[in-house]
Amino acid sequence: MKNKLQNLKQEILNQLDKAADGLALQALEKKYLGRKGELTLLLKDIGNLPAEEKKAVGKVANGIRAEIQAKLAAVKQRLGVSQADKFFDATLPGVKVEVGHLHPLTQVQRELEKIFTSMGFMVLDGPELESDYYNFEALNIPAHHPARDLQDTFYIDHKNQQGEYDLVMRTHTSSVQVRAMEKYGAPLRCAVLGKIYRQEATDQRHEHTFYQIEGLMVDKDISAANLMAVLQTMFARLFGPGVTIRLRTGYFSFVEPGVEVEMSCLLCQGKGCPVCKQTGWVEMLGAGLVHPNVLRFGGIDPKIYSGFAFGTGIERLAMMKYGIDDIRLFHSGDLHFLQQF
Amino acid sequence: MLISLNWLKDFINVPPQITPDKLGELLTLHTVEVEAVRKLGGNLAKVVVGEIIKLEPHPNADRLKLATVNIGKETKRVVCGGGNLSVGMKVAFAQIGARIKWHGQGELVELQPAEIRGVKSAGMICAAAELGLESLFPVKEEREVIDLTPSMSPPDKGGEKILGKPLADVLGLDDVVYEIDNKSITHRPDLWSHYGMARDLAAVLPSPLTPLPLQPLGRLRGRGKIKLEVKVEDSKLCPRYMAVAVDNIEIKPSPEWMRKRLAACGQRPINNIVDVSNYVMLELGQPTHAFDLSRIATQTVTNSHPTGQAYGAGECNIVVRRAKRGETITTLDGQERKLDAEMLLITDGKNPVAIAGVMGGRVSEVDSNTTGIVIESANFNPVSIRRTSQKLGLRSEASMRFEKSLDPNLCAVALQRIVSLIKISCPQAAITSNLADIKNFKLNQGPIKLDLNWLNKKVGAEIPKAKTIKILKDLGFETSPSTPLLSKERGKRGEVINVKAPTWRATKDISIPEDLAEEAARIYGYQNIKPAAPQVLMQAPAANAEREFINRLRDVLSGPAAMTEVYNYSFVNAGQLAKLGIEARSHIKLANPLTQDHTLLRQSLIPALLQNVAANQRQTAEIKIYEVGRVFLPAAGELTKGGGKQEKLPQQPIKLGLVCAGKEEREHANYFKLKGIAEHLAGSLGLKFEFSPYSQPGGGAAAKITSENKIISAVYWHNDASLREAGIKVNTAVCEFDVAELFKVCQPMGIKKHQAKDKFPYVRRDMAFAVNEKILYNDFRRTLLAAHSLIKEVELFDVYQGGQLGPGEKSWAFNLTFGHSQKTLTGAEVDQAQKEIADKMAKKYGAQLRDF
Repeated sequence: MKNKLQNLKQEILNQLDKAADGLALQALEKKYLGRKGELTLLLKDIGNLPAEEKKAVGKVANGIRAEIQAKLAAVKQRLGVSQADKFFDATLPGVKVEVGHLHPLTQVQRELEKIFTSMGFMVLDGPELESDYYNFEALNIPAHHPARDLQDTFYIDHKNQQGEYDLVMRTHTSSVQVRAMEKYGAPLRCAVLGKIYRQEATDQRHEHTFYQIEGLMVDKDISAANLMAVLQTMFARLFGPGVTIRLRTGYFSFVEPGVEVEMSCLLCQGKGCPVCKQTGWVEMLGAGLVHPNVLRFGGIDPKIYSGFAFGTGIERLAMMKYGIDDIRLFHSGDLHFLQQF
Repeated sequence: MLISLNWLKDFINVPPQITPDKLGELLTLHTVEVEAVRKLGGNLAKVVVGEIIKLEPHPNADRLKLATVNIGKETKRVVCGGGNLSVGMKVAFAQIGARIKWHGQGELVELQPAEIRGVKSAGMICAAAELGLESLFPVKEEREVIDLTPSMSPPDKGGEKILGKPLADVLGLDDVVYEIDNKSITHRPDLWSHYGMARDLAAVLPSPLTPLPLQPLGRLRGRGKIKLEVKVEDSKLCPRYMAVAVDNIEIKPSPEWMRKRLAACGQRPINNIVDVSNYVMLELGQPTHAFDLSRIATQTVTNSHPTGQAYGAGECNIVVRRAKRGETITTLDGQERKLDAEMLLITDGKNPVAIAGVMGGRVSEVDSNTTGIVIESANFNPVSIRRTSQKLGLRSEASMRFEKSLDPNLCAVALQRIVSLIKISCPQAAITSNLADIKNFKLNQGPIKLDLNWLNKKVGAEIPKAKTIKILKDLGFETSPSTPLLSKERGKRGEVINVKAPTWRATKDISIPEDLAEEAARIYGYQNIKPAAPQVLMQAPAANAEREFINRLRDVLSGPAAMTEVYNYSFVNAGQLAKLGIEARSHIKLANPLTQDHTLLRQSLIPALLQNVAANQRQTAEIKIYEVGRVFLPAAGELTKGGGKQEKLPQQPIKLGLVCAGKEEREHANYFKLKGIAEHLAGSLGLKFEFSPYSQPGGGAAAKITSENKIISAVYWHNDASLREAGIKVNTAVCEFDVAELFKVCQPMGIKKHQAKDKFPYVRRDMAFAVNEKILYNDFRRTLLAAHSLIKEVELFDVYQGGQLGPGEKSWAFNLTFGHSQKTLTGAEVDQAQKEIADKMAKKYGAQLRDF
């Protein structure tokens, strides 16, 4: 057995010396060292030897193996054959990194929070189950005022002593206006982001649950021109410096004057398309100068202070930004949708 | 609301360079939101006037005819199924290429040449519905095509010349209709009419405003054969009630021009009396009502005359009062309405004849036999109207206007306009009663002191004084210089003017200087105001620590934990909860849920997260989702309801819900995935979560999570029947934290501190123990860590059961780190330590050291 091994070793070493190129070397490797190579088979036979002989032969075999490996490496070097000459497919997929996903509305909310904190606005939230007082009355919308129709309201099945429903699912984040005024007084700059509710049948464009951002600034001599500048900043930061806004008259009981703010249509750059109903403008938010009654409800003297407020749906911003065409996707819990963000 | 451009042009001049679209834009920018601009003749391209010159039977169909139609330059032969065809009849002829609403239904379809039952047809004689002209040509019989013949007289309009002319031109369908967003005029009672819109546009354009052709009120007093007496019992609910009786009425269709305008504004023409009432409402914004005189008056001399003769002398007593509890009335729509004491009624002294300002009663309805009427032009309390219409679920064009606070002065204008319009359709009609006019109102027209400096500061633009005054005057305000200010204030304050609001703006719309600022700003135009950043004291905003904390949680979960954030509705239902074994009774209920799926407010995020699992389990092998959101508990929270009330709002804590679900390769894989996430979350917050076994009453494995000796959550491994009941087919683990509690535990943790590396190198050794399978890892590990002073850290890397191990045994393999702060450890020292550790573990747990 020992002899067999020695002979084979010599044969291999000789052959290796003669090998002229990488291809020949590959053939030799296969002939002797491959899975069914001559040396491989011989080494396997060692296992069948009696125990005492196995030990001695094994030692020799290991030496031979090492010698051949060293020779092989030397020949490889001589021939300039390296690992790199093996075909390597650089396009095979990399090792997958497992990633998580923030909800698209979280992402847009964070962008908004960043924009407004950079302008010195506090970020607030506030209760979602709100009293009729903060959601309506303190915003200059008394009971039985037609302005209550502007927002279809979910009422909580609870009546006060007068037999009226006095708890609602807040219909807007404006409900935090007077709470913030009461807590922080003037001057005041805050952005309120959160979940709101409307008792409204859902379809592709309508949801009964959605998110809003409310901006409120109270200080001395706050003007409509100030409101325009802040909103212009917000839209430019969200959608790029090219967007322009325009204001038109609008009605919300808690502001006077009240305006609707439109943004130049991103799709057609203001030329007119089906999305903007051929007008070149898309309605984005409601705003205005805080009604003196609301300041008074918040314990702020409207003779000294004035303010602006605005509010808009965050879904609408996200839909424009990401090209989402169905508002119901946001609350669908559909992973195919959520894992795109 | 629909506004007709032609109607507006009765009152203002629209310069030719202002196209209908441009006018719509001006309205949107300055006055109200225009949702759409509709061109009425827009769908009538290729539809012309034709005359049937020959009719032949269809060879293959009894109900069809072959009509030869002269359309001026040529004749066409078409197949037609109209039931009212006759030779000489003028018809609406659609040529090939016209766009038709097939059978009056669906989308517009382009007309193609066709072969109908073997006969070629090159066009179509149209029915009203096929062209969308039903309101102009009401259909009396089935299979009726439009008969234009009556519309073609007088003779100068008819004749040969008309044939082939576009139908839109011939019918005068040149109108443009603006669709107004009603929400944008909630605060403007004056804009619920053509005249009101025109008045605003007069200031926007600007254009002169044509006054209404009105006669002195005195002319409304007839030589009273009818004694009309009105008694208003509740003047707060009815600030003004005017009425007058008109006799010699003949009920017939209104003149075509009126029907056309009503139709353009979406109002179905009915008869000359109802139409006049509607017309005046659309023109002036004042709803009125016509009662059949014979039904509400008592005749002292003769009874009613169905033949249409004049009335004899009589009495008509109208009492405006609150309804009695349980009283009922059948309204015009045929429904019986139950009334209560808050509702205002118009009665004939005994019985109700109308629900004030909401809807008339059937009993006094004007019908084809009516020969005399009582016209009501009144003003009602907006809140009362609104409550009544809400309670009855009955919103009418009238109630919609009354609830906006109409100007009581409008009653008189409307009444005069009605009488003059009735006289156009019934020249013989005559006022036959005295004029009743009960009024009890006072408007606050100001004056409002307007500081022009203040105004410009508010707007943020320098609007010249003359411009502001012109804007206000164009809108109907009266301005005058204010009384001189005290000398001290002079110079500091700007010029102040007194502004008196017109009556139509004084009901509640305009009362403070801010209201005037809006008028100035919107007419001046926001496009003329330059944006200017606010100039304020620099101040860093206060941090919202809890919100920042939530953002940290999200960053960990959607970051290294690789979970997907979901948003769910806040609403759940009892059935959904029952399937999960959750009691629904304590949940806060919605008074007016949208659907039966969403009736209760959630108390946990888990039920909806489980629904997310059920919805995604087919498409997604591994589901790892979480939500941060509020839940609603029936206990009183910290925030008050406000407005001086000390009552508290219900608790609305923010929760964090986590779910791992999916088919498992390894047992309890989802539990350990979720536990790993919770442990990672704890680590990133500087916390340590302790997990201890906890059996929940309903079965299923669970662990409670403790941190800083406070139980803060529980992880459940769910694989029970209740989940299958809820439609979940995969293994699922859930856990929920109260964010405020978690935040509280985290706060004292402070900022992570740097720890210097030990000077002397560590030695690592592996040790495996065989122990009884009932021994808890947590306990074993704690003991192991404390088993020797040289141990720095222990980490489990293998769990094994079966094989050479005996039944009821398991093997744990640990990687142990040894170290000393003063010296480098020798191999012998570590060997010795290992030996001591093995002895300790054997003593305490009967653990046997295993060979590798």
